[in-house]
Amino acid sequence: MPVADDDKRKAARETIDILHEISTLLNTNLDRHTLSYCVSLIENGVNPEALANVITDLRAQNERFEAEQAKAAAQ
Amino acid sequence: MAHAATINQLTDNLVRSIVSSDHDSIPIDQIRENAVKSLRSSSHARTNQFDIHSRLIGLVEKFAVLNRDDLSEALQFRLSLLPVESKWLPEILSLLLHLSERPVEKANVETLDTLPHRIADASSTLAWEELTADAPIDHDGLWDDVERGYHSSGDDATVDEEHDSDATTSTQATSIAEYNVLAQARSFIVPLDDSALEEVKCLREHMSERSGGIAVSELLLVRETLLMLHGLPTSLFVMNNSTGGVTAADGLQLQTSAGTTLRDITMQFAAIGSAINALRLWVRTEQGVAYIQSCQAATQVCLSRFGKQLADLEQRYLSKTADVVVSIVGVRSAVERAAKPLVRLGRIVQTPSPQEPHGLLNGLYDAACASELSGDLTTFTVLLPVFLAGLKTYLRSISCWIMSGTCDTNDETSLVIDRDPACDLGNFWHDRYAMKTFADGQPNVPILLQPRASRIFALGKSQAFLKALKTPPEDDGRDFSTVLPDFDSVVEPIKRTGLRPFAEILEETLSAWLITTAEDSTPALRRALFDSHGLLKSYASLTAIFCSENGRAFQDFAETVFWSMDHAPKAWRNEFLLSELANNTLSASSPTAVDTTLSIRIVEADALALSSIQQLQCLTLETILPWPVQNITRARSPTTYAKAFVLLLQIYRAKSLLRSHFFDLRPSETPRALTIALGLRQRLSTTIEILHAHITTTSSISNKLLLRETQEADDIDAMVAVWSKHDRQLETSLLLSVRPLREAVLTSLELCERFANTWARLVASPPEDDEDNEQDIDSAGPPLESFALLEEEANKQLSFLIAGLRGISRAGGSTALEMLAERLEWIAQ
Repeated sequence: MPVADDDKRKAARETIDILHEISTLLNTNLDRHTLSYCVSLIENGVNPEALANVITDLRAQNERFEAEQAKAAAQ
Repeated sequence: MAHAATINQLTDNLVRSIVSSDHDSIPIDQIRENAVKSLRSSSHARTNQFDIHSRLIGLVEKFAVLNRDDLSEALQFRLSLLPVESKWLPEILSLLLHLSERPVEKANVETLDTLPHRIADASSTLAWEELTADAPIDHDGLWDDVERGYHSSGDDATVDEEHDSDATTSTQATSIAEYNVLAQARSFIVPLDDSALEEVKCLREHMSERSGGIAVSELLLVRETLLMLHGLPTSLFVMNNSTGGVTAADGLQLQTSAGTTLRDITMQFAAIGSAINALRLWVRTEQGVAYIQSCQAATQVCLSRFGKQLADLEQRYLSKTADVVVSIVGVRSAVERAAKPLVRLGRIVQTPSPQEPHGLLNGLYDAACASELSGDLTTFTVLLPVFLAGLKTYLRSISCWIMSGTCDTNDETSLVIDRDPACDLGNFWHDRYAMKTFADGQPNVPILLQPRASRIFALGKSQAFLKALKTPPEDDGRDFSTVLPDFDSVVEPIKRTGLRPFAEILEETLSAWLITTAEDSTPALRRALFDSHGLLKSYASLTAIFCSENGRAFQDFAETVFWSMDHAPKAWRNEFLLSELANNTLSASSPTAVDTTLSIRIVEADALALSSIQQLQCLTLETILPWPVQNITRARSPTTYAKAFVLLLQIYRAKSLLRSHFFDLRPSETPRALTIALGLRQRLSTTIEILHAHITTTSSISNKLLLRETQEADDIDAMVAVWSKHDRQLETSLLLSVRPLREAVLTSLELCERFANTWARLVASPPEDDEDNEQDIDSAGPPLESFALLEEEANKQLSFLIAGLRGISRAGGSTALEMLAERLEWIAQ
């Protein structure tokens, strides 16, 4: 039923919007796309705690890479 | 496989979204593989949705507690919007909770506005559709008027305690629900208006800091000035508490006056305040002098009167019945008028030095006289009570001295010094009390009493002498210190007419007071001396004792002494025997001398004294006068009379020697010698008789004169002067003070002795005492030559004596000496 699908998609979008605002209020620093990937991973059975750890590691690695790049650019 | 691929894909997307893949050095694949491994390796149980719910509720409450109501409300609203049917919602919320990083500090609700898909808040305005969705407005009479009754909205009004707005004092307080006591009480509280105190605080800060100019109003200046003059601390004047000095504050500004004018006025007020404060400090100082304390008390009254005048000035500005112009210049005029006498008084009390005990009285007296003469009755009216209070207190000691002869030795302002409380009574009048004087000899009393100081001193000394005579004056039990002049008679004439000077009126008052208080002391003293202590009797006895008033008694004494001299030349100098003889003969012979006790002192005779005439010089007859008489004669025994006694004794001796061989006429070898001898003897006898008559007559006349003048003397000082004159005149008249003439008289008397010795040899009578003739002067030579020599010497002495007497009589005007010279001239012719 395309109307039902539209309603579902609309509901999903609204849910993501609400979650995004909640994520903003909780200062999680997740943009909408990242949040949607996280929601998808969780819907595929990924552990939210593990996922949080992975995201934290990825952010740390990214900060390291950016620091190295900045240092290389300064030299 | 599809599930793993999905996860790989999603993980790859996640990694790429988080890690920046702009640079090739970043091993994205490696990172992705690691991430996938991490995600797959973890196995978990389902998330407890209730735990997540409770954590979120707790987070909402935490936001509210930490005063992040915006976060709390936004989070709660969005949680309420989440679909409850989603089964993955707890896991997603769990992920968000794990990734949450200090939302209280970092989260900002306004960030939601930047999101592309903003959720509408709950505070959005309501639409009619929403309102009518539950309760459609479709019934009739909806818009009809409603009858107000107990359903009035006023009855349903309640106070919203959560908003807690401040209630006012309006009548709406009665509409508040009665059960809400707190709200009802709060409605009666009047809120403070802090703005009303802002001006006062600002002014106080300006006055305390004194930075820049202080703008004051004229009324404030008047108030502060009057308070300063009362001696109170003020903000516009600085007062030195130790000296009382006042200085005006700097930077005062008056809107209606120029700065220099205001400064001038405030400095004038400060000067007046300094003078008044100095006077207040002086009044509070401890003074050891009584009259200064009285002045302080009177000054305190003046200061109180000044304070009342200031209060009257203040009352003008406080009065609500009459309009008054606030004028600092007017206040200055009034204050200067009222304060002028006190400023003058302040200068006077600060001037005296400690070396001038009466400096304050003198200063007040001079100032009172000057102000009265210049017509400044305001100042005079203030100074006069202060001066009279001090003078009254000072005169207490004077009154006590005059009327009772007692003085306070500890009073440094006293006129009298008690020099020697244990002095001999014979010197009481002269040595006991002395009058204090300055270095120049002026009496140490206030100026207005200096002309009377000697009289005051003598009056008191008379009283003291009377007390010493054990003859206390008539005492009716009065406190002599309260017998003071009536100074009302000083004030009234000045107030009535003002024509007579104050100094003259005061002079009259003091003179009348002295006359009134001292009129009885002198007669009592005279009576005591004359009647009780026999002054006149003592004087009268002097001639009887010393001057052969009773010739028979004197002759008895003399002949006994001469007999002792002739028969016991070495033993006749016995004081006891001679004193006994004197008392039995001289003292007992006269009724005036019967109570006197005589004593004779012997000084060691000159070893070379050969003649008996010279030996008699060693005798001194003394009679101890009563101590009251000693105060007049200034000697325990009259020395002049003692010398006259010795001279008379010597004359008697010469007479006795001449008479001893009077009837022993022997034929001389030469008639001429006999003629010379008889003539010489006659002349010597006549000379001696003339001298004897002169001494006895002169002393008797002089004594009578002494008695008469003593009775006429007013006081003891006059009596002392009379005695002193008598003593001098007697000494001169009896030739006791003129040494050459005295020597001539003694030589004449010795000639009599030599003649007697020569005559004795002439008549060939054995010498009565070989020892007396051991050193006979004319032992050598025949009698004719001896008599010739004696005659020649007698003539010479007589001529010298006559010439000396003439000279003294012309110089001194003594008729007795003139007569003596004339009588001696008869012999010389």
